[in-house]
Amino acid sequence: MSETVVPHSFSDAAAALATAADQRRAVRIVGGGTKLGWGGATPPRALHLQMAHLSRVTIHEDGASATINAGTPLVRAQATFARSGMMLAADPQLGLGRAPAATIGGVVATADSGPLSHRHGPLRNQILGITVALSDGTIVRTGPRTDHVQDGLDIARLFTGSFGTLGAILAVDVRLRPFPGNTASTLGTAGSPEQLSAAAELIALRHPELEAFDYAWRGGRGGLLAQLTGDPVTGDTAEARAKLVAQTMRSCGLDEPVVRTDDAGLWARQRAGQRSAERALLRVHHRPQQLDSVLYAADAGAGTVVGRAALGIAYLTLDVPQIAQVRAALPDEAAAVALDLPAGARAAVRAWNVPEGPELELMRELKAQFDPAGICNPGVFVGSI
Amino acid sequence: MEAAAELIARARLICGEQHVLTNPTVLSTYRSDGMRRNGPLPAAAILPGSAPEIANLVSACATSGIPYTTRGAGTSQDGGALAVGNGVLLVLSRLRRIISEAGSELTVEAGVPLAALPHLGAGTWLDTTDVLGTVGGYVAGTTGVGNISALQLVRPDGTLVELDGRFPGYDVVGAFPGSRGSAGIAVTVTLRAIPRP
Repeated sequence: MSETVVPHSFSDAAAALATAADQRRAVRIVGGGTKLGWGGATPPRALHLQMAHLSRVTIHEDGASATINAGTPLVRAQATFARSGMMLAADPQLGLGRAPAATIGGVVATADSGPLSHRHGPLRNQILGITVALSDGTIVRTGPRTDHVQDGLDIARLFTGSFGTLGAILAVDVRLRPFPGNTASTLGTAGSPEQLSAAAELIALRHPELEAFDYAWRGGRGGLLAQLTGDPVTGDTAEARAKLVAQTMRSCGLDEPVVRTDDAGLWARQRAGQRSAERALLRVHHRPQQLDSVLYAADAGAGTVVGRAALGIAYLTLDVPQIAQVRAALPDEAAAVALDLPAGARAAVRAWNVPEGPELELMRELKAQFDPAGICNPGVFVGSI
Repeated sequence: MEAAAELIARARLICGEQHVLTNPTVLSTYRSDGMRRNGPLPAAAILPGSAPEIANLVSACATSGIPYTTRGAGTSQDGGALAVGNGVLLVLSRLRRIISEAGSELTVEAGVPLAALPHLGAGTWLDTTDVLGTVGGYVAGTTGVGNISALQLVRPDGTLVELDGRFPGYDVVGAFPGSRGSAGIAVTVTLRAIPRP
């Protein structure tokens, strides 16, 4: 049974890390517990640093930025922003068939994202600053609300997607965006990877106004899904703009496109496809132009796919025995990380599958620089960091 | 002074005689940036022509203890393009090739002037109205540039590393903008097209 520490303040969390470092004891940093299976395993007797009580949302006077403490469920932060007509442009799947328990700390630590990243960029683009505790007990704050002067790599961006291996995220300062209001979505289906890939490239080029642009693929057939909002300048409604996208889809040869104004369920399904409780889930980063190759690889492994059509991000759900075959069939430059895995399969699958080389050496140097004691989520990250 | 002379001799071997400037009259050009005049006179202005040359120069500087400052077009307004102490300047103005433009991705050398970036109809490569600086100078000096997908980087110890933003691991590519040279020298930068603001 692991011991759990529940800090009630930033200094509590920093002190817990420092004590663990003195004792050379591994620490597992825990938020909502929705992604504990991602990455490698930490030592079984690791101290659990449970961040649930570091939960607070502060919208700043400018109305366009906020500070969210790490243990705050993202769904609660979004509800707070929505009351002011604002949102954080981050919409990952917030749980695995359970309550939407994912916290902002966990979402940032794993750089998890959703369809809105098409328009607003990756999660790191929404982060203005960060407060972290390092394993020597120091608390570092960066961002425009501090006197921190960046000297070297941007700490907020390094911690985003670090899987908690550099230190514990205590709070993040984020940029808020106006809530987009009514949306409409256009759905068009394609019968081959080449058709879907070519249509995705053309639509992304012709329609920079898309709020989100996804695809889904299964068994040699799939579809593109584009979301639009109204245009406050021209007065065009979301539905009118969606119909223009439908015209473009038609010109690409996609089957009769459909415009839906009740599109919330469509996008919820896309997000749900980013997690898997029963099968394995690979997150693949690839060149957008290689989308057809990724879809062929998925077909070869009897996998289903959802992804960002113009960003080169794919989520493949497949059976564990197919992982090696699918990885081998992916384009050389693609990087595939196994995130969700069924119970019992984790030991048999290399989650990161990254070769040794200068990049990995650099990662290890960064780990040693921020966490010289090596206690923060050890073994979880790429290269067993 | 002996260390500086040795470094300059080494730089001439690495880059060629004509790309290592030591004439004080010529060097006086490099005492200014976009704002300041009469900054320190560098011991030399060295104009490398490739990533391996930069790597060798940085390694030589590390060995000799001579500080270097990386300079693009010299348009920064905060002294970031000026030499320090008896240091040298590594001037990237020869690195101005556009290496590839494929779909929504563009790979350029760091010394490419911002004004020379290819035109994009609906989008842009960098969210700036600056046309005088270079890509490398803009990226090194601007925190938050979010559309870099890959970097060829010479690290402060002189090692050359190719970093791809798709590589699973710490987001060094994303964390590099705004590092002002202290995290290394970006030799090539791959940009993803972004919507025009």
